[in-house]
Amino acid sequence: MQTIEALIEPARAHRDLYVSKEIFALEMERIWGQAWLYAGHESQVKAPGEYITTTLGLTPVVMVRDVESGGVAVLLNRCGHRGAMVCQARTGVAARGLFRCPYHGWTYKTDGSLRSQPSPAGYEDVGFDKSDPAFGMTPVPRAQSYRGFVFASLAAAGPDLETFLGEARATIDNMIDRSPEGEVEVTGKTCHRFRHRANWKLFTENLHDAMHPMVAHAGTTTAVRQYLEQLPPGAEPPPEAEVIAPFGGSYDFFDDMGFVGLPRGHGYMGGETSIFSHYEVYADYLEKMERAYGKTRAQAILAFNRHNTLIYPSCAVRDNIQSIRVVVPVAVDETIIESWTFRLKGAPDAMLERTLRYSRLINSPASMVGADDLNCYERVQQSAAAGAATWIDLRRHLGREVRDGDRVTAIGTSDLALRNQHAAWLEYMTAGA
Amino acid sequence: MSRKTGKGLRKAVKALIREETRCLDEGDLAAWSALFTEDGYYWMPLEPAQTSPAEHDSLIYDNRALMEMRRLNLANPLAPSLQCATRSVRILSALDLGPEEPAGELTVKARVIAVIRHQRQDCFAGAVTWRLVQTEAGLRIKSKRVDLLNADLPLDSIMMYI
Repeated sequence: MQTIEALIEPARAHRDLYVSKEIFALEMERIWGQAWLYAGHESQVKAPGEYITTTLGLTPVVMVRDVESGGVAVLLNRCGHRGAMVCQARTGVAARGLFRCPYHGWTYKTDGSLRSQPSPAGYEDVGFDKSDPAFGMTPVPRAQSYRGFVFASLAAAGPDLETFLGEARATIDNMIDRSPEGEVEVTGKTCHRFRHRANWKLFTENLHDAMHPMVAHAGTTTAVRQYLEQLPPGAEPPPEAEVIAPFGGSYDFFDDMGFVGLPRGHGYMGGETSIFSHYEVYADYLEKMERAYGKTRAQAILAFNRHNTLIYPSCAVRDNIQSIRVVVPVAVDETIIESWTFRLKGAPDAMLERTLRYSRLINSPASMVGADDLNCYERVQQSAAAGAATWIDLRRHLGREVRDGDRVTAIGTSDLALRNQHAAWLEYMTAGA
Repeated sequence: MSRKTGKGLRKAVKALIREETRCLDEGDLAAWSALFTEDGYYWMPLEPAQTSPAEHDSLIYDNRALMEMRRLNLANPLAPSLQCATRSVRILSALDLGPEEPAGELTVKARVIAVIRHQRQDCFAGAVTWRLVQTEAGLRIKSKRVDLLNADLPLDSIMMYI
């Protein structure tokens, strides 16, 4: 393996980023072990003792509504005794407010502290301290909710959550603001879980790769166009067309959308225009929004048009369609993309139906659009693994980006988005070196 | 319209399901979608006990319009994921016909194993529930629900209806 610095050049990235197990292990430690990672939404754990299981990088954790404090805790999902995973189900409720390891019966409070272990006499005078967090389901070093969205970090030190999120906060704010009641909640107990036999970065890079939709999705957008052409004159196009058609937008369309790169690898496309620009605004929804926020503010909320705000490295937020895609790295060449759908409280049912329609058509493992994205990532992964491609090229519109403070912007089809992620990658990977 | 009953209905149901299976096995989506009523749909929920596609995510919830878009997409050589041919086969068992209902509708259930060959070969298993209706044109599918055993586990691309 080359030195880490040698893997990133201004115009290209080395294949080792995508195929080296050593690099992947270092990423888990230096990026995923440091950054604030999306853990879940508070609405998933409403009742005392209610929990979900997830991972932070490769580390299994439990996000639980603590019975005593009523707050949300993020705990290592492992017993302090032999280390067995305590909760295997994706969701559940801690019975009688306790987690119980099914192996030897150690029990834990929902704040992670050890409550008891069977036949305790065996632990007297053997150097056992029940209050030692190491014997508990240890809380992760940092966990915090930003307006209901819970992030956690496996590192004790680092920027606070609001600083870390920076300008990406406005995307979360906008998703919440789109509810007339100023509140969102996750629908259902499950989410789409789409297996990608590809490195996690191929997914995050593609979020802002505006040179691919008109090529990789041409099949699907052509099918939709052909369908529309078959319709009798004057027939109302089906709402599915509204979702899929913008993926066939022109290079100019995506250039105009633009890309904004933020510190720490975050970034988003659009702002003023996006693939959501031409979505119909339902009259009854608009009315509720105007009643809740006043006309001017409601218009401003709905005109906020970011597309795929990447909160590097762990999630991509689509505020205007109310979904979050969570990046779950499994191995250097395997990633699960989980898509969670949110309901805007107080909005008409049609808004949730639109969100669900989008999610089915774009995020589901049975999506026509998603299948083509995934197919392309796997092609890159396979070539990189075979050594057939040594470098991944990133030079499109190199040097034409505009810096303004800690933001950097470019036209939409620039490779700036990829370069911005790689700059953050290098910063994380070489920090403290 | 003369409605079929008893043995005649049972025979028609079996013929319809055999034809539906043939259409999917052969990738004949034009003939397949024509077996559905105009307001018919195909639903693959995400949760085992899910009661509605309007409350939570679904893997697939296709009306006739989407069936047609998928047909056109499958026939389209532009899609990168379709350069590799998709072939599939289904085995149905435990066909269970519910009672004939006054409106000419009935519920039919079966177990299915579907093997889809794409870049790899995937095997799906689950339960199928059809709502069928007798129409002027014969027996048609009002809805088909497919509950995959592993709907809530990580899944590779699902390239074909099951």
